[in-house]
Amino acid sequence: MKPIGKVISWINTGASGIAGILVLLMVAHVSADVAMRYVFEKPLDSTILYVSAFYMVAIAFLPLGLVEERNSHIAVELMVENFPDKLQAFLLFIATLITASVTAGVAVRTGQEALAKYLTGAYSIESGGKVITWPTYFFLPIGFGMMSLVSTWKVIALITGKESGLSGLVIEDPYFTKEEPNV
Amino acid sequence: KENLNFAYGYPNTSAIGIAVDEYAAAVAERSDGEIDIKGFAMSLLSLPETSPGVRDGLADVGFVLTPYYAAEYSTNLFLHEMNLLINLAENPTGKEPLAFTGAMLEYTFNDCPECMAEFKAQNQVYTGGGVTPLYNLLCKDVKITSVEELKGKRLRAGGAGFVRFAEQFGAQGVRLPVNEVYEALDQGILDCAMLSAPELTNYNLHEVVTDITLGVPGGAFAGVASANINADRWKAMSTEDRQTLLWGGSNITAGVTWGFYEDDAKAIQNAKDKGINIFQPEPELTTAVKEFVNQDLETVSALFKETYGVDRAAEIAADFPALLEKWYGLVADIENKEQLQQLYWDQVISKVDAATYGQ
Amino acid sequence: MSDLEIAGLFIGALFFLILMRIPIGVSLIAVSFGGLWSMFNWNIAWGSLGIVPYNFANSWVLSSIPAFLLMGFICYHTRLTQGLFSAAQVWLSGLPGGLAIASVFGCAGFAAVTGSSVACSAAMGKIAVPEMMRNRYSAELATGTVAAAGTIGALIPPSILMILYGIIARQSVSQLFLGGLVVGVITLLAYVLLIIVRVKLNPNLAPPVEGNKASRSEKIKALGQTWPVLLIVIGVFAGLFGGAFTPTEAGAIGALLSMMVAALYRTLTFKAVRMALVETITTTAALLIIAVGASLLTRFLALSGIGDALSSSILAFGVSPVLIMFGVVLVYLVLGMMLEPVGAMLLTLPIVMPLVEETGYSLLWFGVVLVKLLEIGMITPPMGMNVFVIKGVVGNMASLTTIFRGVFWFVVVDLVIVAMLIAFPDIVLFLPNWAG
Ligand code: NA
Ligand code: NA
Repeated sequence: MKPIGKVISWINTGASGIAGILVLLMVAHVSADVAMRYVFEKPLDSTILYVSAFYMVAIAFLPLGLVEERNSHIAVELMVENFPDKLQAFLLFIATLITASVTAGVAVRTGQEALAKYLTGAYSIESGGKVITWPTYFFLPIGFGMMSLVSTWKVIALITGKESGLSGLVIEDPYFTKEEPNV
Repeated sequence: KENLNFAYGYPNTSAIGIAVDEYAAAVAERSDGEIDIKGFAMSLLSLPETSPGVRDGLADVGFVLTPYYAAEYSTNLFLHEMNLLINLAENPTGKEPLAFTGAMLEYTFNDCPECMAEFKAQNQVYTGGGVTPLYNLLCKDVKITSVEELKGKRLRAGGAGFVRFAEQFGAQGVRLPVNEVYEALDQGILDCAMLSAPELTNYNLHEVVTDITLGVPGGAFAGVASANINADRWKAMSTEDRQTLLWGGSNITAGVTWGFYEDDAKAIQNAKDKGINIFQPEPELTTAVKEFVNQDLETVSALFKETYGVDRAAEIAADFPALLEKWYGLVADIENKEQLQQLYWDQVISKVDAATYGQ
Repeated sequence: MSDLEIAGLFIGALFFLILMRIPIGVSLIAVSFGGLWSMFNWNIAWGSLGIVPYNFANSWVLSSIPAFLLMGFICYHTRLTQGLFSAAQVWLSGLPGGLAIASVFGCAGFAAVTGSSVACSAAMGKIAVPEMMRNRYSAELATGTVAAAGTIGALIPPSILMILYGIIARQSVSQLFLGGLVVGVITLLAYVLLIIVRVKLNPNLAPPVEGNKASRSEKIKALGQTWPVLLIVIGVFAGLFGGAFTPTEAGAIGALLSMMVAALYRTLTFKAVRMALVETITTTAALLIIAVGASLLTRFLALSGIGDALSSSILAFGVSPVLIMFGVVLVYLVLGMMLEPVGAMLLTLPIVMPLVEETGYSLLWFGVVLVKLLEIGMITPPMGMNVFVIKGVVGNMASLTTIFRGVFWFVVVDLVIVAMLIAFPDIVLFLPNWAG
């Protein structure tokens, strides 16, 4: 069990690492565009396209697996937290199962779309010429696919009663030293 | 009885919303209530979602803008890029967009099998087009009537061609979504926006714009398929219903184009009433714009052939001007939407065979 | 079953799934998919999954959200925020709930820089909430205050919602901005008053912090520690009003500035940046999957014909203008529970605008009231985007339930404000009328 869980965590770390770097690049890119326009009167080419199609799509979807791994998807505990433990455990199982199947469906569908875009070679016409956009469509199947993989793995761990081996990146807080495990 | 959902990514109060309502009413009347069209303004599909949305059946009919999908609609887009020809009209009458619409409609239906194939590949059936009025310079606290005054200005550019235009004249082409133009002009991030006059009202720009230069950069937006129908729905319809919807295509094409044409005159008058300065470009600027157009049409032809895979680019570029000239003559006496629709119907769409089209 | 009944059934299913602790984003996607499938067919439902997620995230305007989040997280992880709140402690400790009041003012300040309330909550959440919790404020008050105060972000200009409304309803954006400014300031003052009253009645909510008897020199010294955050805020303001960048670009500039100031402050470590980035991307992804789901739900509801049903049920309230407005308010409160504001606006405006015109209220007035209503929706359960932002930002320090409890009294105050605006429309209109 554990080695596979580790591999999943490792992929998630990689995907999120890319998303993290893209956040920095996005900030740098927009700032550079502002500076070039305001100070040097020579704006960068196609900033809006890069920000919306490349950075935003990647930042929105690549980390989905990590979010699932850290149990950070937003859910309402209002009712469930008062239920008996056994019922809570059962509901957790159901919730994870639903998450796994729904995200698997979205991954397949967005994967089909990405493949179609790859086959047509989707691009945007910009003043500097052609900017290839089809790769941005692949961020979705990767993100939703990882989210589905993580929750499937959790389901398997819940059924077998073994440890999943998923680690999740731990955030250290500069003020509060200890992070409580989620869920 | 056919119930069709029509998705368009504009407000229901816009020229397009009004054209869609009129289209729905006209189609209902002509089919004796057999075809019921329900419009969805913005809520069902956004502008970029409309093409794939009609493809997958989320809407049965959609107002599709081809530039969002350059790879899928490269030939259609090339026709749109011909819009710069408008600037070369010998004796401009203001009706150039009406003529351009007709020329584009005729070319798309009759002479452009690639265009048809592109729509078919997206599971759509093309039934109509539409063109905006001429692009102007809508400026705040800046007056631009000469080549010299264009230098160093920050101009909002909607597409690649406008960026080339700005660069040609030593200005900056700033790409900004049209929604953000208001704030950007107000704050001084932009000196001017290259937009058609009706956008003054559509985006409330008349509150911030102080100076308008007409016909610079010129050109119009023609990358419009105003009533694309889901091909599966189309094939399942009776020939009679298809015939009615093709006729509807002439209605919405005229509705959109005439609506914009009228709005243009209204918006400019309204701007005058609000005390906004309206300028004509100096002759040397007009000449320079024409020079740019001639040069850019060649650039565009080469670009579409080599980079965007439109093999027939040179041929299309050679054929199109004559067609446009013919249409300049045809629209000369048009005075209302009904006449315009009749013209589009008689000249082009009535000749389309509803039994075989889009199969 | 009619389409409307299907819609009702699936909305019920949505509430059930959410209450059973299924992640909200997943619930929304599942319900919209199931709804489209049963109302139409598999192709349409399946197609929607391929279209909406990509096109929703592919957005220039949304990019300010991760950018403002990064700014907030950088400020926090590099400890830039410490000084600001020590100063607030020293200066406002005399007031009950001084830190909470300081957060409300902070949010209002950020509101003038950003156009959306999510961006506003994102920027302030990490700065203010942990500081309040360290000072033993109740988690409810700390989180609720910032979630609610974030709603001022779309009221005080610039405001994406008002620009969008102006376009759809053909109303003057600058007049809408003026009306929004008034309502934003009223909201600000009402929130401050609410905090003071609540803490007076229950001092445990916000125990008075030490430093009550700070001397004048200590007070001035504390001010000296506020420079890092002030530098960032002033930089962003100056650039925005100096015509250097747009409200959308302000987020990126703010994030860059916060890193530069942290470098000056000598706390910009690799670790701090890495932590801030991880928090930024996980919070963004967790929020956007919900927004994508809400956007899918809007399509389902649009196709179900709920619009026509809404207008007839509003009209059923009677012909008196005030009663019709009452119906409109109710509809938006209900829609605000489930939809995100842009979706709710696009879905309803074509139906509601003619109704408003019939009542004799002006569309300008309605635009401002509408934004206020949509913003209330941002903090009402089960779908409250601002609350989710705060949840994303505070992690395990507070549960979603706690935050929703925390906003309760703010929502009550908001409703009082809305009632006032309906009773006295001139509150909204006097400034636009006077200026225009
Ligand atoms: Na704001
Ligand atoms: Na809500």
